[in-house]
Amino acid sequence: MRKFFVLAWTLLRCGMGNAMSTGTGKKKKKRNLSGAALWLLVAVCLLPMLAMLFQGGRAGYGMLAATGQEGLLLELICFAGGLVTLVFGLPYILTVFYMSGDIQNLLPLPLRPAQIVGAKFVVVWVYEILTTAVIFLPLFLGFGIEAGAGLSFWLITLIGILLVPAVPMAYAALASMIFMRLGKAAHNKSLLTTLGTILLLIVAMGVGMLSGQMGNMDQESLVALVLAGHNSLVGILSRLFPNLRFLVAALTGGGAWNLLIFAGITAGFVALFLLVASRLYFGGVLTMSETSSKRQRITAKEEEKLVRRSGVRAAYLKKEFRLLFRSPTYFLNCALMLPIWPFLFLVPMGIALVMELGSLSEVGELLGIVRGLLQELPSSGEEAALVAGIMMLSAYGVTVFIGSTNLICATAISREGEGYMFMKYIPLSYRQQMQAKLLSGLIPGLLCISGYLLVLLLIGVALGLPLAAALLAVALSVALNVGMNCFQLWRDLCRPKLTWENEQQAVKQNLNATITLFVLWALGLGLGALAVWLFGRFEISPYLLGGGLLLLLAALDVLLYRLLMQGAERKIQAYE
Amino acid sequence: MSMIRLEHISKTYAGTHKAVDDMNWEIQEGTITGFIGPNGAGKTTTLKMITGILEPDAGGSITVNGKDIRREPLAAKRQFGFVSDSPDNFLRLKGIEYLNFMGDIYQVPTQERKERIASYAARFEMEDALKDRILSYSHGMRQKIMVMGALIHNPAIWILDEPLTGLDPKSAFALKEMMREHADAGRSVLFSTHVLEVAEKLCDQIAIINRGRIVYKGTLEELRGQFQEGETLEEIFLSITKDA
Repeated sequence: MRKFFVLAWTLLRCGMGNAMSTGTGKKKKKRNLSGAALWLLVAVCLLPMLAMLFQGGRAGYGMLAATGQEGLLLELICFAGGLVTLVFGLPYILTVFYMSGDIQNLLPLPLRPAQIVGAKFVVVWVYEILTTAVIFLPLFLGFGIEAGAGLSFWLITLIGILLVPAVPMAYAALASMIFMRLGKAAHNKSLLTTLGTILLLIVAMGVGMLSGQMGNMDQESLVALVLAGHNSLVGILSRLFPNLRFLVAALTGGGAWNLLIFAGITAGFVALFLLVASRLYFGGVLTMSETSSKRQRITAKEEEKLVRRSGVRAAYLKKEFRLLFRSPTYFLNCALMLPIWPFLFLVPMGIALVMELGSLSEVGELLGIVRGLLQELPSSGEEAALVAGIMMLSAYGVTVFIGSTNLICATAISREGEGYMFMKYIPLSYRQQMQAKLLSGLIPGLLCISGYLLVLLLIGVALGLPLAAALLAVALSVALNVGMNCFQLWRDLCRPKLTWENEQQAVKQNLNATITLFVLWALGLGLGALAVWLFGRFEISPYLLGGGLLLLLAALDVLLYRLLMQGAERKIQAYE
Repeated sequence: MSMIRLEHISKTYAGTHKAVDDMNWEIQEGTITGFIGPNGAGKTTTLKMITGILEPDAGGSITVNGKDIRREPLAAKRQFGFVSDSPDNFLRLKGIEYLNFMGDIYQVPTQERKERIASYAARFEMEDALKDRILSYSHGMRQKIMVMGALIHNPAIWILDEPLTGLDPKSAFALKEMMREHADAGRSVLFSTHVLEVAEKLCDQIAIINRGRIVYKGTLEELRGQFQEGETLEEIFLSITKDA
């Protein structure tokens, strides 16, 4: 057991330790201070979201307590926690179990398979606790404070936050192990891992989609769902996560034995996972380090295609794309959301709509009605202004949310690792290298956010939405994309994480990704809220507001680009 | 004519540790120069300063083929091909993609790069590996592809940090042969090594560095002349670097 704890602790320290501190002496103190300031900034940026969740917990209690159904909210929070872990934990499980590249070092050590699997499980567990706690702690706090909960509630909440991720993680880990085991004969392991993650994500989102309908129900329907028992959606989730109902019972005063059953079932799941995973894991992971090679000579025809001259920036950009898209760790963590977001959000919405209405023909009828309504909209006046405003705001919101998950630029220099030296000895100016790196994040962002939005909005225009608003919405998206990528690259330029042992550490434990994500959310939310307030308070035309916002964003783009280019020479020269 | 010139070059890490201390050094054209020293003596730091990877302390100057690395960095960087001590770079690129990329960075015309790739691939027996990703290469093959990439623009100066580590005997022989040909053509090779026998057999000049200072520079014959007859190079080296 001692070996297991030592290994788990070592893996945790290797993974997270070097994400926190670099440098020595005075430099370290200075960095620690600026690091603390950055954490403070992240906390400030998170405040609006935390406050919203806190209020959600309070309001939810207030609404449901009146009918004595307050336990329902806790149940929903717990199930949502399980689903969030299932969906967001998958890429992390794959990177820790299959892409950390440490298995060749661990196998020669006198460790049992269960100890290795268990230690890796703990690493993911800790990460999941930290991630889910940010979301669920404020909800529970809001609920508990409103309910005037006692000490036992808070203790059980703490235990719940610690243990809830275990069961969904076991599912996700087992699913990935089965997949990797089945695909161990595949030649291109990188592609297999990427496709596997996307497939598993779709499955996990499918589960989420089933429960997603619950969000649209009124109070009576929700109560009916819970009471409906085994055939209801909650019933399905109860069977998927059988331990959660006991946690809810313990939280709602059901006694300590419910907590014991919850902990017991969770421990049982973990034990069962370790038993199965010890047999499944190594068969798949050992083939990960085997790389296929053809050992074939290049033909003259291939040489014509492969060896040809390009411009330096184009060549550098091509190199960036190849390294990004061929590494599953980089692709899954930095770029995955870009191509799949419409499928993750719109397809489940579409399916939910079909399920709600009963048949496709009814959906067609509904679309016909919507089209009729849109075409009847006046070309001027309050309603038209509102529609235009909603279009622009939607494009703005989607770009901020999806664009901030585009971490290509936020990790562009960190991903160089010790190889950053290459940037310094080639005869290519740092400005040119930064331009290529900027394009490596900007092009996918423009194609997969502004491009998708253009298609969606043009469909809307065909249905009767105003063209001018659609074009302004896309222009806003483009301007936002430029600024966000500049900001992310500038942040990585200032403090890149160049010391790492595997690709997973370069992106997954990179503070730049987290910081830029939250800062962009906060700034985006603030700017969006200001526009909405101006619209509501002064009834300014949405076209005027959109145009003004576009000018502001364009000015910020120029400023950030200049900051980036000016900083490039100085900052990169200082890397040692 | 000196191909590389260092004048009063120092490098201090973290404000206290002096890795290189007031170094003055000239490397002449038409020579192979071996850079020898114990671990942590300052070899890699020196090579990194020459190539522009590290910034020396204020005051000195480094010129590479007449170009000052600080004043004309891009022009200076075009004068050399550099192979670092770690070949684990660009692992997800195919060998041929890496070479073509390096050709683009140094703007080598298509026909020239084709000829050089073919020539180097034949000498290093890499013809059958170029279509595969570098990730699938052994350590020695990775080292060879890095050397090929560094030389694709036919630079005047080769700067190689431990270039023979991991190479099989045949490839090591090929590289040494290439180094000799390069020097005989009136150009320069500077390489660091721990293997004294290599320095003994290959180098026209050697420089021994210890604790950041060059404690000997010149030919091996001159060095031997300063010591008793019959002493091996290893004994001489140990004697020079002992608490120097």
